[in-house]
Formats: sequence, C-alpha cells, structure tokens
Amino acid sequence: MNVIQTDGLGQRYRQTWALRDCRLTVPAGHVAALVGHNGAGKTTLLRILAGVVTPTAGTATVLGYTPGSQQARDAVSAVDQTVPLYRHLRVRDQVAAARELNDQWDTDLAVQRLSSLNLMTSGKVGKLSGGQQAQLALTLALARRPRLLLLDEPLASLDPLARQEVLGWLMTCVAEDGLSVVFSSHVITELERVATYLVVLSQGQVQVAATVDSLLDSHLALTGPAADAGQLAGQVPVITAQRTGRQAQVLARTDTAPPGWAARPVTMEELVLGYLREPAARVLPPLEAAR
Amino acid sequence: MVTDKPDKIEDGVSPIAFYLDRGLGVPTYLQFVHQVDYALRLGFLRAGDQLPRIKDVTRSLAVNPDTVMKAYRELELRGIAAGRPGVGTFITQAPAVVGLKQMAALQKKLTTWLAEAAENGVDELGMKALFTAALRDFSGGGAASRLPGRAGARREGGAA
Amino acid sequence: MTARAIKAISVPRMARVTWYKHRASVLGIPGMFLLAAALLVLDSLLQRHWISSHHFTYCLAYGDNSTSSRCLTQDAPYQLGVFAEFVNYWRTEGTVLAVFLLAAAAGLFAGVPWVAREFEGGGFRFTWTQSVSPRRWLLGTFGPLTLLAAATAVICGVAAHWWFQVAQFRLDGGTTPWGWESIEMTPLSMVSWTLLAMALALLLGVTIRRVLPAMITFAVIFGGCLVLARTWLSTFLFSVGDIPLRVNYVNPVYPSGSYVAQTWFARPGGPKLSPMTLYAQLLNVPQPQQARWLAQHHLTEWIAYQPHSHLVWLALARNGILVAVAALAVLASVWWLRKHPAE
Repeated sequence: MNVIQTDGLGQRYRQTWALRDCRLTVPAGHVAALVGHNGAGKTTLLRILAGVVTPTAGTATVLGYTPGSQQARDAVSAVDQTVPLYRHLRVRDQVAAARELNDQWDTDLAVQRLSSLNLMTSGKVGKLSGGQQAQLALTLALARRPRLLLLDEPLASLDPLARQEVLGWLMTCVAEDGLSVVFSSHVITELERVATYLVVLSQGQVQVAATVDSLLDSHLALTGPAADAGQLAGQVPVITAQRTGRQAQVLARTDTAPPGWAARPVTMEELVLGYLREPAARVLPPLEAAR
Repeated sequence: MVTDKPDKIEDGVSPIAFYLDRGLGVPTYLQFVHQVDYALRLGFLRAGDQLPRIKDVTRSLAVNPDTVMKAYRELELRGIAAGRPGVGTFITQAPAVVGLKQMAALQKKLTTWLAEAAENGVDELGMKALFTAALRDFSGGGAASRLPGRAGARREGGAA
Repeated sequence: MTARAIKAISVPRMARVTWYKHRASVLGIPGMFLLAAALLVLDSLLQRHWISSHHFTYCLAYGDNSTSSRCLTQDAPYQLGVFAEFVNYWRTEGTVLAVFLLAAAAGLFAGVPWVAREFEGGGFRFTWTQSVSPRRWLLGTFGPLTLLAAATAVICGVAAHWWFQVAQFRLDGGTTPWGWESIEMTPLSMVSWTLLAMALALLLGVTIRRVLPAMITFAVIFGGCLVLARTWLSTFLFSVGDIPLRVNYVNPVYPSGSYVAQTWFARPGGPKLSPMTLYAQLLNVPQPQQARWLAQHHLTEWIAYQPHSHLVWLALARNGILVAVAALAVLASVWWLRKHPAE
C-alpha cells in the first residue's frame, strides 16, 4: 500500500507553478525525507497532502484517501511550517480544544509529554518560545494517533538537545505504532539516521524518489585522474564531477568501479548534495510496464 | 559528568548500549553489529544476555528502527543472536574466538611485515593506507560489502 | 489499528471549543443586546412614571379612535409640549438609531473578526487538519453564536418595541406606523437584521480572509443594505397590493392609519397624469374655485393606499427578504469554502 500517491500534481500561484506534473509514490512503512531548495515546492506539496490546499492540476491520495476528506483527516496528522496553533488560547485550553476536535485522542500521551516538557502552564500559547510551540504542535499531532505524519521543517526552531529528543520520540512511535512519516528538512545528517525513503524536489518537480538503501547501493563516489573525467561520462551515469588540479571526485550511479578509478561507498549527504547541484539528473521509480 | 549504570542486570535492560560514530563512514547497522561483536570479545556480553530493545535504541539515538532490525537480522544470520517474539533479541552463543596463541602468532607475522615496509621507506601513514586498501579488497570492496547476505556468506567462507 | 466508525464531531464539543476560543464574542454579543434591552426598559419605566404622575395616559393614535383630552398622542399638542420638556428629541432619535445599529455592531465587531481571524492568524491550518471538517466547523461554531445573537436580539426587540410605544410621541413631524422607526423597533426586524449581519460577516470572512479589509467591506455593504432597505425596498414593497381610491382634492380624507403609495390625477377612462404639473397649475387657481376648475377639466384626484391592516404583512415580507438574503449568503459561504478550503 502506498501512503502517498500523486499523479500529474500541479499547483499554480498566479503566474508561477510551485509544483508541476509531480508523480510520486511513497510506500508504506517508511520514514520519507523531503529535500529541496527553498521554493522547490516542498511546503506546497505537504499542504496539498494535508488537504489544506486544493491542487490546480492532477490528483493526490494519502493512505488511499483524498486529502481533506473525512477519512484522510482522521488518519493523517500534519504540522505546517508556520506551526499553526490557537495562539491566543491558554495551553490547557488549546489541548482541550484539540481533544474536542478529534475522535481519536490519547490524553495520556499528550498530558504526560507536555508535563515532562514543562509546557502545561497557564500561560498563552502565543507567549511560548518558537521551540516550545513546535513541541506543543508535534505532541498534539501525535496524540491524534495518526497513521501518517506530515511535517514541514519540524525541528527548525528546536535546540540540539530537543532535536535529538524529538527525533528519538518520533522514531519510537514509528517502531511501536507503525507510523509512516514524511518530513522536510534541511539537515541532512539527521536524514541519514532517520530516513528510509528519499524524495528530492527541484523547481516544482520530483527529481529523486527512491529508498535510501537502493540509492546507497546504486551509487559510488569515484576518485581518479581529472583527465579521464570527461571519458567517464560515456561509461557510467555521472551525477556530479568536481575537478581540482589533477584529481577528480565523481558521484556516479553505478555499483562497480570502472577501471582506473578508486571507489568508495557514498554517504547520504554526498548523494543529496550531488543531486541538488545537478537538477537535471533523475532517479525515479520505474513505471509499471518498464523493467 | 559520568553517569553510573548499575552493575546488576535488571529485567528488560541490556548490559550494553549502542552508540553512533558518524565519522566512520560505515553504515549504522554494521556499526551496531561490530559493537556487539566487540562487546562479546571483551566479555561485556555473554550468551543469554538480551540486546538493547529496539524502542530504547530508537529513543536514545534517534535512528530508524529498521536500522536496528537490520543489525539484529545480520547477527541472526551470523548465528550470534536470536529473536524471541514479544520478548526481545538475545545472544545465543559467543563467536568462536580466535585462541590467544594464534593471535600472538598473527601479531608476530604482522610485526615482520611492518619492519619490511619500514625498510622499504614506507612511513606510518603509508602502512595504514596499504593495510586499509588490502582489507577493503579482501572484504569485497564498494557496494557489495553492504549486502548482509553476501557479507555473511563471505564471512563464513573466509577464515575466522 | 482496527477500522473504526467515523463519527462527525458533535455540536456540544464544537460549542466547548467555541467557548475556549471566542469567549469574548460569546459573552459580548448577547451581553450587548441584553444591556441595551435593560437600558431601554429602564428608560421607558422613567417615561411611563412621568406620564402617570402627570395624570396623562398614552393612547395609540392609529386605528384607535381615542379622543380623551388626557391622551398623549400626536394630536394632543398641549400634552405633547409638556412631555417634550421631559424627553429630548435627539435622545429619542439617537436611541432609535443606536438600537437599529446593534445588529451591525454584532456583525462588524464580533462576526467578521471571528471568521477572518481564523484565516489571517493561521489558525485554520490547525483546525483544517483535525478530525472536524472545515464546513462543519464554521457552521457548528458560528451557527450557535448566531442563534444566541438572534435570541437576545429578540429580547432586545421586545424591549425596544415597548420603549417606542411611549417614546414615539417625542419624534417631531409625527411618526406614522409606516415610518421606518415604527417598523424597525420590533423584535422581528431586529432578528432579521441580526441574521443578515451575521450571515454577511460569515460570507465576507470566508471570502476576504483578512480582518481589516473584511471589516471595512462589511461596513460598506451592510450600510448599503440599510440605505437600500429604507429607500428602494420600502418604496417597492409598499406599492405591492395597494388599493386605488378617489379623493376630494379640496378636502381629502384618507383612511385612518393608511399609507399613501401613489397620487395621480385622471380623466374618466383616461391615463394617469403626473400630479406635479397639475399642482403647479392649481396654484394659480384661487382656492374656492379649485374644485370647479377640476370638474371643468374632468379631472379627479386618485390615491393608491395601503390600509392599516396590510402593515403587518408588508413588514413581514420586508423582514422575510432580509432573512432570505441571509440564507443565500450562508449558502454562498459554504460553496466558496468548498472551492477554496484554505488558500
């Protein structure tokens, strides 16, 4: 079962297309990382999947449901980049409001976690710091017991210790409840630890969509003489090549080193940066008929 | 500040805890496998001990549970551990440890090799580079070393 | 996780959230209407006490043939003069206007910000990702508030009507039951304007989605509705089903409590002639000879009037139109929300 499936998805704002002809399939049971330049369309994609934006073109489904439908809203939790909350409410009232607005609600989870974070105060939500508001929003999202969690840069306002703790907590939810997660982030080192599926968006289109394992298995970081770098492009698919003096470092999509080149396994960071530098390169899941 | 862990093994708590070394460039699940191997060799882990629970590892290290499961599967393939559904993963047997005498003989051979390299003008870094390259070639090198099945087969086929 | 039956979020739960989120509006709007009602009752008690202490009674002059000299009516100048020293004209007119605008205040200061702020403040991105649907949420929270406003508007309307029974005698130029004050100072009119105000607030909040522009637009449009209702709508409505009657130009007698919708002159079997030119011509004719002049030209004056008994139905129709427009505004809001849920 696919948690996310889009076909020809497009979103236009006035004259520009934030998303164009997006075809994406994310299988269940993954933690999918969404990466791309600012303005590549990550936030738009997440908002469409959350059912908050109606796409201009194409279709999308989450867990097989239409985004924004009753079933989708029951099974999917989303925390937007703007960390939406009722800021003029007191924290207790905000939690109570969230409880009233949802059928499925894990009160214990919400209260215990918020208490341990010292957030169950009588102050207003708007008076909390950015990081505290993010923690509150995440807790409320997970207290709904969703099957899919959509997060847009959830850790941006958290300090390093809080980031570690939140990621750890999310991964435990993945382990215990079989939660699927799609989150966008700029911090690639965190993605390495946590993500099992990678989606790279570039200029509103899907550039890379594959499991992390298959990506790491199918790419190599090659080192060799700069003079041969040009020839190499004819032998194997080259993603990026950096020449410095006599040596060239190449990121190639191959699993065996061509003769004359030293190979080592590529890290996720090198992979992501390589594809971001080279928007024309693509790694897309094969269509049904092919292969 | 050093936080003390109790010597006594409590119910559901493993004697060891995993850690991450990002600088290594070794995939995370293999790091865990090596850490278990190391702990077994040094006696921190004995047959019958429980390995850290998946949810404890994910919470403390913020890694995907799949990574831990992969590591435990690899250990099962090597015959070192076995999972008990609903309870956890436990060490079944300590790996065949190479005898002290053989270790001493191997180290002597290594010292001879190092002396020869030094005579030929190879410095310490050069020695390390030679050793690393030879080791990588021996293990299969590149992407192939990642596949647990293949790595396990090679391990079994090669000398231990 | 087993599949579970999906229940819609119930109204009491939404009401509780409304209470958390919008305590000020939930208390403020009904409070405003009830406070106004209390003040009106108080003021009226003062006036009635004054009247009875001067041994006057107040009589409703229309459709009521009371001719008691102790009656406080528009036809009793002495009593009215004394009363006028107690009750100020502007106080009366001002109060009528203030009560009339309560509905506008409810829509402008509570209704519009309620909806628009949900969008402008980003709160909708939280609400729209919970289990409640946007449409159900808006109607389920805004609806009860509107009902509460309508209920307290009725109470205020009853108090206003009771107050107006006495206070109307202080409006110079006389009030007629067909005047706008008489029609508006009723519970039915107050409820209708309140419903229209809240419905318009919902529509503008959902379409404009920013508080200040929506408030300004509301003020303009609702003000336009008020003006339109007082001028065009009244004129149009009051000529529906009117009854033609021949009158004597020199000594016209209109049925008591009626409203003259049109006046014209006509020759037997001829078309309606505009009265303006004929009035101008008649000015040059000395008064005693006007009747003969008209007879010589075979002209008769006609009026079309609404008898007093029609007033209830026409007022009902007028308010019914307001409520119908309100219903259309709500439907338009729901439709718009479905087309543009968030962005």
